[in-house]
Amino acid sequence: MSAPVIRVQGLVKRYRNADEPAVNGMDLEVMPGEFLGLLGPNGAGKTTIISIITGVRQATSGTVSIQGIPITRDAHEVHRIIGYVPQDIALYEALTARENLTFFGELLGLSGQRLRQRADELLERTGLLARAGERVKDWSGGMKRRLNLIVALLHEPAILFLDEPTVGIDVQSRAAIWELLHEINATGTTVVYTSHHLEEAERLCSRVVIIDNGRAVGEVSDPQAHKGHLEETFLRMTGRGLRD
Amino acid sequence: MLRRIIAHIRKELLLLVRDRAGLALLYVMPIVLVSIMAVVQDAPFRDFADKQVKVLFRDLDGGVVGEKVRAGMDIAGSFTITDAGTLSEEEIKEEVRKGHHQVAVIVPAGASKVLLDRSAHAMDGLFGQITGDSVAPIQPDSAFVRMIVDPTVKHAFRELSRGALIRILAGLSSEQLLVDMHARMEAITGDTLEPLKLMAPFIGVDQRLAAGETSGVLIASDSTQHNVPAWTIFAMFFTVVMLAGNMVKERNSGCMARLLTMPGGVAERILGRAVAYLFICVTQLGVLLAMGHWVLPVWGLPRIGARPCEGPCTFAAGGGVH
Repeated sequence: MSAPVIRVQGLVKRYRNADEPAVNGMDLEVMPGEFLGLLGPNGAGKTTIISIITGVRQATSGTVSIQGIPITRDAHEVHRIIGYVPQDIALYEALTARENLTFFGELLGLSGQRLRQRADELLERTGLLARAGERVKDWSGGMKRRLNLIVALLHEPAILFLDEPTVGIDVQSRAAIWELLHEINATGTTVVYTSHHLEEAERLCSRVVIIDNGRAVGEVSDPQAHKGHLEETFLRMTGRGLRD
Repeated sequence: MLRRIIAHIRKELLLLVRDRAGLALLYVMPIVLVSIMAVVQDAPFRDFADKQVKVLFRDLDGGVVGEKVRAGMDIAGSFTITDAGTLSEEEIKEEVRKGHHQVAVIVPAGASKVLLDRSAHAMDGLFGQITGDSVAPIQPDSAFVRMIVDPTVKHAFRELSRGALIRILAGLSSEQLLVDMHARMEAITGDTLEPLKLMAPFIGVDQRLAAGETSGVLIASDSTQHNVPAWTIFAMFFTVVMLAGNMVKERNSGCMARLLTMPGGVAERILGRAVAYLFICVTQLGVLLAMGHWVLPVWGLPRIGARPCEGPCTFAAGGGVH
């Protein structure tokens, strides 16, 4: 059996002036090629967990390693392996789509013809090629979301992290994103994504970890096999109480 | 690493170029400020640089005192003298009050007679002790050259005028004393003596410039030399506004989070920004020096630097080279 590509042990994150820790002893292992969904209600700690795993934030305690490399020891190397799609539209709106892709691509170690080809390929794949010369600020939310996704795919990462990648977009854009995610997962890319859309998780994920109060409270393997029951499981594990 | 730094530089410059309000803040506003301030301050700087006090001169004496005071002020070189003709004292005051002249000098009627009488009285006192002649106990009248000053004129200009007048009048008194002394000595001795001459001061003043003297050039301050460097530095502070704005946008948009998950550390991001904004500062300097060298002279203002290459030298020295 192959080793996990992501290993999280005893992760704790305590924000200053917060009564409770945002992440409270989280353990997680992700196997190569998995499509893992981190599901949880608002404020469960999903974004904080993914931020720590990708190196955006530092943990109060606990360890995170990606392909056996501790993030705290060699973040630079880990960042070559991973791709990260933030919850926000993390793009420079004054720049064109191509300028955004060129800038982020160069940071990811691509250049010249290779970068242009890869950018064109992804723009074509997401239906954005014809408008690649336009400034992002003039685009619709769905187009921005698609570009937000493909920036993280430029260097063909081995592991892709997505933080609610389909928030606030139209059905067509969401379907295109799902399709693309399916495709890249099929080529062997490990995908970890957070959401509170259960239907989306059922459709995409090979495994779902349910998070509440900063730690894993349950797990559903092969959610597609339990279609329609994920919501019931989710509510059983996280309760029906309203969240802030 | 170099490629990533270049990517950051290019991105920052693109963001700045696309930000019209930012460009106006960085380039247009300093140009407007330099233009307005240089024009507004030109007149005061010229007054100060020329050191020429406009004097309205009225000679009511018509004798040696009026003539010598006028000649002495001409020779001083710090005064532009206009004859008041037959203007009354009130009319002269009005001329000064209106700002047509900074100072008015009125030599009173009978001033020459007072000079002669007081000199003669002084000689009587001195030679009376030798010859045993009695001296008239009554002091002759005094006379005052009147100086009327525009109240808005700087203290330095007032003192310059007053000092010049005191110097001329003191010289005139000394000269008259020597003439009278010479005449008395000839009368006592019965001989024809060599005339006594007013000599140069035994201890003089040797004035030197603190800078510029050795290179044979004159350092002077004018409104262009003053305003272009000053507003160039001020304009550079506006880059902070742009820098901070872009950093806040980057953080709020999530770009910062994305950058944190990409290869390259904080040093590369800072270096990329620093180089981009240094470029902005250098171009600001170039634009404003070009203004000072080519544009402001078109409006009749002084030129910064005699040649284009002297602009930066002038900036560094904080003074102008003419």
